[in-house]
Amino acid sequence: MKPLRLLLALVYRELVWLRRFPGEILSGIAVSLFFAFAVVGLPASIGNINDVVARISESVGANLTLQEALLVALVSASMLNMVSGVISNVTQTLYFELATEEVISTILASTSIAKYVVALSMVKPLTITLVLTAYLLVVLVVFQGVSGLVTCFLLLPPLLLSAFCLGFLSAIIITALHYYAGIKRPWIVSGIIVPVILAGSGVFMSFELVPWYLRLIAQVTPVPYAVAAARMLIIAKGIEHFKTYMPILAVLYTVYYILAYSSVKVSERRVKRGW
Amino acid sequence: MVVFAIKAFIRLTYLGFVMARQHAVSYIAYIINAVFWLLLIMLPSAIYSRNPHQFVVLFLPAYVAMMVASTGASSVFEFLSWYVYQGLTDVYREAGLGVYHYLVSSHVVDFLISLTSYFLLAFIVGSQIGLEPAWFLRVNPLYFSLLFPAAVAVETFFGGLAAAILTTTRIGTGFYGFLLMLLSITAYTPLWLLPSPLLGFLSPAVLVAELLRASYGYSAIPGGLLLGMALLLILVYYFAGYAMCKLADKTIAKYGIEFRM
Repeated sequence: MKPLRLLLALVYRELVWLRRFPGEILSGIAVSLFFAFAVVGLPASIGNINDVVARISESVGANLTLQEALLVALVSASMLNMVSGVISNVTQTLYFELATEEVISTILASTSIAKYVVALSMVKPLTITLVLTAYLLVVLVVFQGVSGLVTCFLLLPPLLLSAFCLGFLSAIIITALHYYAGIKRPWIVSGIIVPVILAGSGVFMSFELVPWYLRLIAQVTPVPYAVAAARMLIIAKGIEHFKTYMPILAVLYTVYYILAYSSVKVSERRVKRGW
Repeated sequence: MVVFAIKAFIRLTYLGFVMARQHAVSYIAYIINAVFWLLLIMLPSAIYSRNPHQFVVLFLPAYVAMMVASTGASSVFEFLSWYVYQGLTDVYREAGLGVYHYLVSSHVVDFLISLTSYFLLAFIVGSQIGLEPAWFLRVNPLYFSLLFPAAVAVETFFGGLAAAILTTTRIGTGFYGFLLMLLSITAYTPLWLLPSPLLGFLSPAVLVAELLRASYGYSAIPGGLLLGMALLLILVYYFAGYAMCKLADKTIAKYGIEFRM
């Protein structure tokens, strides 16, 4: 099967699959909105909202209004959806597909396992990220008017590059665990990795304020850089974030792609030898 | 009667511990998951608040309440969904055990898990904002001793509510999760902002949060009134939950239950 056909087939499957889970999509978006409003609202409930905005401004290094502080929180919260959606879906789908002999046979009849896994690790993050962060379009238009559309468009590159990296990361972890550790409960992997990465990425505060032991794992993932890029885009209202963070994200994308492809290739050889 | 109830509780708790031992890795993952998700929001919120110490004492206790409420709902979901598929629900029912018994079996384990993860969360947030390492252990024993019965009542209420929803409606699991999540999040309701703090108790989870807050000396309700209300509400929530569990059992006995994804 040609790579383009493989990608199109996967996109079609993902769209059909996503239509079956409106409740999960709604829950994901609701959690993000709750977190964004809570991070501003909870401290304000025992004090003054202006003081809270002043502290947020100090944390992000810019003088924000309440509206801007809320917008920064809402945009940052999209990372929660993206990270949890991508990692949990890619790990669980890959785990069940790699563990099912019929699926492996079907994949091998039309393409290679390595190509399939890499394609899935890109298509799933693409569809999930677009669906779960679609609320940003409404939020940005409400807060910024028509220019919100441009902001939304500019947010996509860092979001999608991060999502692809996380898709590859999930593929690396799940193939390693499946072929070498014999894991039985893949949801445990996503259940641990997702909050550990998010808590260490400084989603709602400056990365420097995050305790060092939480930052350790997060800083080898794209999430802190995507958060910083998104924040900079809202605060600076320009394309500075491309110059500062896109090269980092591009390098991470390349590294994760190479690691994912080569690790799955090694596992594929094992499968063909009769693993 | 009382001796029989105590014996049944001990047997079911033993069953709960045996099941928990089989899923020890899942429990560890659950604790890590819950603590880190809460850190994501509690750490920045504490840093942004006027008085970080007051913030953690007022809002971290709601974590225990939310955990207790959500574990009640998720235990029942497990019993009426995955166990249906695996045939375990039938095994329980053949042994004369229903939704309520399954909930009882997990009360002690769930409470210990909620408390352990709360201590871990409180330690991490406390150390980051400069509190003494064991600040969360300085509690008023009177209020703290009411925490377990309150947690049992709240867990039974949410479990019963979940069972009633799952057995008497055709609601999809996605929307079910969304609904229960919204209800358990009400544990974070800041009572001091309501027209009357008593209105907060419309959400049963608030009771657990308020008792833990009171054990640290911060409560929106005067001490005597809170104690009296706690004793009354524990009974109300518990028997309401019990009634909903029995309704679910009767519905299953009459119509059966299908596995739902």
